[in-house]
Amino acid sequence: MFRLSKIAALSLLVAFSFAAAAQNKDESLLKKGWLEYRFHEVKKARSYFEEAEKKAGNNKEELLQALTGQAFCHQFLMKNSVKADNFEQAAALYDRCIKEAGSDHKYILLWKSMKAECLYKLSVLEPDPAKDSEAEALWQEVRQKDENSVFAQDAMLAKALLQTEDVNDEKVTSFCGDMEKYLVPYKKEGRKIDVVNDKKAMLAPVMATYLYNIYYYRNDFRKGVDALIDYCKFGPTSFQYKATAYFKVARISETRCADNKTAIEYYTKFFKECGSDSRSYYAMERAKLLGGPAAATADESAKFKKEGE
Amino acid sequence: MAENKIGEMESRISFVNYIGLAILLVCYVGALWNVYKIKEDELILKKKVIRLCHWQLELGIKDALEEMIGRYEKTHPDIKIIQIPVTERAYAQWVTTQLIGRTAPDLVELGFFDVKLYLGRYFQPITDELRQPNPYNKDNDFKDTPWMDTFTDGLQNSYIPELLDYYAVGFSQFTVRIFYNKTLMKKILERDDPPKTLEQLFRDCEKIQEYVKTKNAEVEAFNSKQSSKGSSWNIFSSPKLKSKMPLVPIASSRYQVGLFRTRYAGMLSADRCLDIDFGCDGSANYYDVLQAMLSGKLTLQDEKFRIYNELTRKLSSYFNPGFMSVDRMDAGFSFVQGSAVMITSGSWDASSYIKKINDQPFGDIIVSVNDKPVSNAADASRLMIDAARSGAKSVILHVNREGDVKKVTVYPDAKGETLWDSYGIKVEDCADAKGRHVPVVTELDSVSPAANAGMTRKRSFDVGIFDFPLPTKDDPTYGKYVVGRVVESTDTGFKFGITKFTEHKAECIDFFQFCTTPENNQKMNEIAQWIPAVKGAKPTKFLEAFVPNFRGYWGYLNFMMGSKTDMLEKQTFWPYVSGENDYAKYLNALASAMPNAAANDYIELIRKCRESVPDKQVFRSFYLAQYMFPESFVDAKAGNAAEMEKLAGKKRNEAAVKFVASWDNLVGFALDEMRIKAMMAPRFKDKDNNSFSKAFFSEYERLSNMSGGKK
Repeated sequence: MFRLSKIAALSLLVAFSFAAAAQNKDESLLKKGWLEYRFHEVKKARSYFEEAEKKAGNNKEELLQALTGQAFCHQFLMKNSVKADNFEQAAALYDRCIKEAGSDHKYILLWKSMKAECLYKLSVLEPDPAKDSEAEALWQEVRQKDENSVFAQDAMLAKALLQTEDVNDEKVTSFCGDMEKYLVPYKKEGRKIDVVNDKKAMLAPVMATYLYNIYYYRNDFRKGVDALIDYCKFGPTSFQYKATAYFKVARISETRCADNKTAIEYYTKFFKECGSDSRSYYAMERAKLLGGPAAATADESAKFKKEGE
Repeated sequence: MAENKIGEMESRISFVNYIGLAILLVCYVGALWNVYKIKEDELILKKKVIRLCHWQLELGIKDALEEMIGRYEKTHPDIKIIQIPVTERAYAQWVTTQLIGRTAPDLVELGFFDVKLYLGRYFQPITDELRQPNPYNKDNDFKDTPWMDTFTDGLQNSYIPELLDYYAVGFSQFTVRIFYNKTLMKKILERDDPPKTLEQLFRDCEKIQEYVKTKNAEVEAFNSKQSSKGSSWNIFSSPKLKSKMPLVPIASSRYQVGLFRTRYAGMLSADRCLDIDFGCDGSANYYDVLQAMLSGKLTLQDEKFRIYNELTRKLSSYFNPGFMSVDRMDAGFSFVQGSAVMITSGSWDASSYIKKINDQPFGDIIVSVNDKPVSNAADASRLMIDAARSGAKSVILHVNREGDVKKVTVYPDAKGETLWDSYGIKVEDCADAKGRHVPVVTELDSVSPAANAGMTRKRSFDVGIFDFPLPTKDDPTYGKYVVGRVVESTDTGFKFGITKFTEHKAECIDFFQFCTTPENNQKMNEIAQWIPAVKGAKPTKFLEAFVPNFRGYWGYLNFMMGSKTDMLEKQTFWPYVSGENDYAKYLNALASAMPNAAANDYIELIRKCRESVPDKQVFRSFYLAQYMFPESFVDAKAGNAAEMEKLAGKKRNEAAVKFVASWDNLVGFALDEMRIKAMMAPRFKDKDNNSFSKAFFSEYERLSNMSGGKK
């Protein structure tokens, strides 16, 4: 009896192993790795990427993707448990990517800027001016090679965020200067950014958010609200962000800048475009009180009635 | 003989053994059958089985879902949907276990657990599907409307900014109102419409208390008369005594206190939030409150804080005694039993209340008096009074009691002038289940000829619903503080997410889409007695009073700066509202512990700001990866290289949008600490600005030193 059950258990085990192996073949390891990464499963994601690295063979692109996946696991997916060792490993993996890919690879700037982030983090965790300088040099290189690339924009923002601690810091002023300069052509146009096709301006809305935060908390409300208006024009990334940005422009203009014209404009935009937000009725009342167009408010009253129904 | 006996015993034992075996066999077959039935659809009939779990055990919800499932399965014979209701007490643990064990149902109602944390780990985003029109709307006005825009609130609260995606679809909306017993209102206040203003609500409550007091005084007088009679004349049996009326104006528990408090706090103090809103986003965040207190712009002595707390305490004087130790279900039970005239609760309780009220005894319907048939209260009363006045020793009544006609012999008091004096009852014409008006015993004296004869009175009653009445501008106490109504542009509720373990995501989406057409959403909510969440779906007549109010204000003034101050506020508020402490003591208790609690919360706030950033970086990196390697993110298997390229291109475009959104989100979180510190910088330079700031900074320094100087 006992022997029979052992045989049965073994057969089952073998069957399951075959099934699992078959399943592994079905889907690519990289795909699985990113899926686990999506769900923040660091160990599983890393093991898939490690396996993918082993099985990449001569396929350079798959190898580079597997190495990037592993590096991301170390650099980002460890979240608050991240240690210096993780940044070191990530930096080493990016180094491998840079070496394997060759200097003309389309993602070379990304790996360099990511390596810079890791080195900067290391220099903060274990104060090391050499690592800091190396990071600065890499960021500089990324910027010089192709300032308008998505990866250079990403690097500019990443560096600014990593080094922004005090709103009045000189470094922060210099980041603002860089971003202001970068945004000049897009501010002039004042149009919605098509983030899919307009790669040069892809992160322009985010830069505008950064500028708003710095200026507003330096109590430079006029510049703050101007940056926020740029953000509204470039295109907020979600309904909530749009609603809050419109509301802030209106409130700051009204209460901090004594600019009722902009306040009315944005209160009106708010209740026209964000009717389901709880602040909508207030915005309508406020626009009316500040002398907003009466015809529009009558229309909006009808809208409230309709929504209530 | 002895051998025979042993043989008989042995055969009996073996027979008993067989019974045992037979029972075991039956159980085994039963278990097999059960397993077969559970797996039949999936394994034998090869159906796609979708499991859906929720905690809505309220009346009608299961039926509403069952109706939708039935309709859906009829048109989709290859799909089987099983609902798994789980009690709300165990819901969080149950769902957590299932999610961790990777055995969770395909669809899970969101709530009770840490939704944001779980959504990112265990649920699938449905943003793409929500941006397309709902195919089931192809024949109505929403044919070309994105699915998310067919919801009353545009499903805006299903979007999780931290996760950059929509994760849920909801079926209903919820609001809070006051339910009232129309029958009692009419009897006591001689009108059955609800109070229109707060002053009227207070006056009504006082009249109800006065009424109860008078009635109970009458009972006391009667009882003392009976007791004195009993002691001198009747030594063998105790005299019949009446019970005091347990009626209160408002049934309540801590839960209801919270509802009243937040609603009136909003009406009276929402504008103060805007006064202290440093960031101009329209809400008073934790750091706005702290900043305002440190600068002296806000103090615990704030008039608005006092006025809404005093209002809540005044309201609590109309609650049932011991409301603090009663739970929400008990308060509801007290209302449906007719022991309170009003109660506040949400639309989610409406159908349960109505069902329970309708299940109360309807009371005796008088069919005939001394064999003379009667059809209305006037006839029944006249015949009964005439019989009593004529000196009849007994009157024969035929009454319909819950469907059975019973003969009742009553011995009336000949001295009585009215039905109440002679019999101890009141009879009124009431509509029965079929809508016919019949003479029903609506009141019954507990010590009376009718009570002696075993008659029963009507206990079910008519229910009305009204919104929290506002104080008028000329109200001497509250008038000058009124801001306005509280806005109710509500979040869509009864929301479900799709777990990452499902093998039938497309079918789950399809079922959601089926349930959220105007027609089906209306039907579903009609059965559930909830408010529909889809545009064009109308609530039932009864629920019209629950339709959300879109005109009003949001937020209310409070001193919450994090979990410690929240806990402190609760700990000190309850003794105040229950009458144990007066307002001065309440404020003293708050003031003495506030600096420590606020300092703890501030340190915690800064810590949380730091800890929240890495999580947002994961999203940035994920979408960056998708942007770089889109082919590894294509869901379906592509047929050929061209198709693969097309799908990968789509994924890359999708990633570009989300990459920017992830950055937008990341900047917001990453600069939080800087923003708070910038806001607080002037306060750190002026630590002795006021007594609160002095105490706060002293606590802050102490706590920071204890934690190794990390600020």
